[in-house]
Amino acid sequence: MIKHQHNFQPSTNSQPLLEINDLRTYFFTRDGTVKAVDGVSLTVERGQIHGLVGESGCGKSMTAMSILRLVDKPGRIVSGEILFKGEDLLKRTRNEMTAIRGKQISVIFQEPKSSLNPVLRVGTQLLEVLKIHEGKQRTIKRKDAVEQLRSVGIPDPDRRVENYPHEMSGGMAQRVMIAMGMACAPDLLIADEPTTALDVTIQAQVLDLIRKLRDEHEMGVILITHDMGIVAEMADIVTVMYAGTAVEEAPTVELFETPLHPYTQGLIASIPVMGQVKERLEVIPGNVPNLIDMPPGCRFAPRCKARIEHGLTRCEVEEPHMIEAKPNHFVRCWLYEGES
Amino acid sequence: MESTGQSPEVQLAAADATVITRPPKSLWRETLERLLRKPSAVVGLVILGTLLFIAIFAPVLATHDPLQVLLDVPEEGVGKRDKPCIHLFGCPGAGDSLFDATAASDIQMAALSATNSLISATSDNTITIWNRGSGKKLMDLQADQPIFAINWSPNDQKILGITEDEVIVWDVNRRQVDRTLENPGEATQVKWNADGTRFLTASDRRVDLWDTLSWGVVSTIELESDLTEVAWNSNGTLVMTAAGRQVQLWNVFTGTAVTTLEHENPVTSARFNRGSTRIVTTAGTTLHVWNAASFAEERVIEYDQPLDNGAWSEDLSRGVERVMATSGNTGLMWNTRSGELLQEFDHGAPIEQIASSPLATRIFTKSEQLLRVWDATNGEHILSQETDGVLTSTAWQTNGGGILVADGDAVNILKTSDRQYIMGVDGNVRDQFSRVIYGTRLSLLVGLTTVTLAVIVGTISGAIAGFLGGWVDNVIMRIMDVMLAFPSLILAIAVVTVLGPGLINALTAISIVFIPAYARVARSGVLSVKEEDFVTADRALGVSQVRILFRRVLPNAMAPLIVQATLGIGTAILDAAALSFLGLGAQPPTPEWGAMLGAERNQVFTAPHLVFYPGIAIMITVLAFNLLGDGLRDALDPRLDR
Repeated sequence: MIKHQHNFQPSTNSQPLLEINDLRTYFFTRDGTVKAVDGVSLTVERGQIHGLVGESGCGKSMTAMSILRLVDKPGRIVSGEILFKGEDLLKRTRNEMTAIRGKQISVIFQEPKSSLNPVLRVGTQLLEVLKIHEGKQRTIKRKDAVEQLRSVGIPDPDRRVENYPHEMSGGMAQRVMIAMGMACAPDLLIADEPTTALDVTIQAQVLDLIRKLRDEHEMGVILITHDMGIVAEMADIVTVMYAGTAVEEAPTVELFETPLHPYTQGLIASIPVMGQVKERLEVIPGNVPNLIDMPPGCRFAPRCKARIEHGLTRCEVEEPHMIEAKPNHFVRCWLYEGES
Repeated sequence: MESTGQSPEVQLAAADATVITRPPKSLWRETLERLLRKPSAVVGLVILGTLLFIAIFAPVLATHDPLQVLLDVPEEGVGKRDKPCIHLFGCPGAGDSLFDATAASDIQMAALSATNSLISATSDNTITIWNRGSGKKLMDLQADQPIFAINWSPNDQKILGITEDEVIVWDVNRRQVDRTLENPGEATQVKWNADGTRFLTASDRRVDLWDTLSWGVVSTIELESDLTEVAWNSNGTLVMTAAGRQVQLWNVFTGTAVTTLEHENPVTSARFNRGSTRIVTTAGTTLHVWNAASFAEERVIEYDQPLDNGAWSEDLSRGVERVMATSGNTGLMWNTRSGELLQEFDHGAPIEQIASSPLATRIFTKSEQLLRVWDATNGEHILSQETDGVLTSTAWQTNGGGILVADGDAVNILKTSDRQYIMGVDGNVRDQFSRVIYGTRLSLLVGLTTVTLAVIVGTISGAIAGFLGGWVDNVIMRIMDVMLAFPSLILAIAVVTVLGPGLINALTAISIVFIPAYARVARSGVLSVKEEDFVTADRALGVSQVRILFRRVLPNAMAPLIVQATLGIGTAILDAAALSFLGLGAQPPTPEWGAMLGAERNQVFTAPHLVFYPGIAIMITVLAFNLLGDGLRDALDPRLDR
């Protein structure tokens, strides 16, 4: 069935690779329902890098885990649909999902060293991913693992394939993780803060690598980060998330030039600019609201300066909708309601 | 040089292709290296290696079949619980002296005490007593007149001696004369009965029977001709006398004759067998075997020469029933049941005494200056001892293995066999050394199988409990808690009681008892590992749950399990030994250390070596596993590595 889809894909180029509609993932805890992802919609095309930004705890990672259906126990995907190549992942059986993970949708995690199994050799782990998904146990040899390592630019892959994770540097381990993610040439790669644990030069290399692989394999990438700089450099389209919802979505250049949502404006204003002398960095006052006890209206309303400037009253009462304020530029804010 | 034809480019390419690779350092190798840095672990490994070697090569190392009862071997020195030889530079062989002492003057008579622990030698007025084991001289007992004869009481407490005027009773414990009695009339012999309640004194024509409560003569037997032999039966109710042509049995209480066994010629010897069920007599050229209960003549054996020195060579437990006699230079041996002549021993000098070892495997013949030892089953000559002086006393130790020899002023005990049992012989006359060796096999097997079984079951159930959590976890771990609530050995005993005793059942029981420990360790390991990032990563990469648990999570939780298992092997061996000790594990003929301990535990004081060796073997094995386990714990936890 999966095979069939794969063949079927090129004929329907108009169809997006991944389309998420109104995804809601809630955690049902004893203290109440935590709405970690609450109505996220986004679209990823082939060959596109889709940035997903927002501060910690805004639901970026949970969106990614929801796509893979790896939400753990108290959590549950309550509603929405995740159309991958036109088919809803939420309707797949557990075994079908296991087959899709790693094969068609891969993930790169934040902490490369702890994401590799410390007791297995790097090569062994790499080969296992291949074996699991390719099924041809006999024909997969050590040299395939070496080839994978070489393709992600690890020097001396012949030797490195025998190493244990603790014998590698963070950047090297991240490359291995990428190699594992790329082993089966997936159609969608989810990079969950892939560079947070790395230093700046390595960051650049890893990002370059991701971009290169994207170009080679024509895959879609969801790049999750809280670093506006990385987004600016990498992403084609950016979705800004706040407290479990997407608040703004626009092509990268457009977003950085004319951010519409007050939150996005705040985020961009808080980026330090080289050469500019400032006493303090711009900050967004207040904190992210409690995900259990959401404000009834716009979630950003309690921290929103624009609301006061423009004297809007409905913000605290009514929740805004995602609207296309400009072509291809979506925003969830009462400021732009009625403009289009 | 065949490669001269190759072009230089090819050689260059070959050189380029050489990739210098560092040897991969596996986790196991690293652990082993760290382990080898710990001296205690190395000691443990060395001991275990040795034990493994012993276990594998047990058939080569063992000197005997561990199950074989050594009675069938034509071999002497198989006294029960024979003490081991631990001499550093070789052990004595046949003909070597086991005991060596010299008296102050020429010895007229030497004797072993009833339990073989003391040796006395009589010379003139003095009795000298040595300790048989240590060879130390203990005391000198003095009389006023020359001593004709002495006799040890059955409990080694008293010595009876007879002089011209007196019968003297010495107390060996207090090393002094207990009492002095009057010699009733020229008596030259004294003999205790079997339980030490009576004794007799005998002169040529008169036998007096004494009672040790009143210390007076109870009855007197008068004889018509000169006495050739006088003896007690084994329960002390009858006295046998041989005089002239008659052998008579007397009631001890009344002093009257019970029966008279008539012979055609003068009786030259008469002897009870060990159980006093039969009497052998020699008279002229015939040998007679009498039934001591019905007084019937069971067998008459004719020979062409005059016979003397009738004697028994019996081991009824093996069905060996033989009688012996001497005729001039020849020792003779017949089968009592068939009357067939079995052996003729050519001594080479007039034989004065022929005697069989207690287990009827060896015979010695003695002439005035020569002692020869023969194999009783095939008649082979084993050794001979010639002396300068006259051999005054020769006697078998009652537990076999040696002959007391006295000549001149010297007393010896002559070893009659080459064989040595390195750790002695157990209560069932099996070679203890071979049993300990084979026990290694069994103990290692027991330890490894029980722990393997327990680890497999415990780890799987614990890992599943930890990984799945929820009600599965609850059910599995509560069952484990119930099992842990019992003291382990008690639970094992309960399980064995249900299954029935036996080694396999004991193994099962111990495995079951050990399961909860491994389940808990595995569960805790899995619980801590399953939250790790790499598990999430594996899930995201599409690895199935089962594979994640057993290939990814468990290997990370393995270290404490390995330590626990290694330490557990020691405990398992100990528990198995304990069960066998209690008779619930390995059953008797099996050479299992615990069972061996259990079988010989009553002999702790009389034969400590029989419990010492299996006990020390258990200790060493358990110690080795503990040392290794400790070392492994340190080696597997790099944080402890300094």
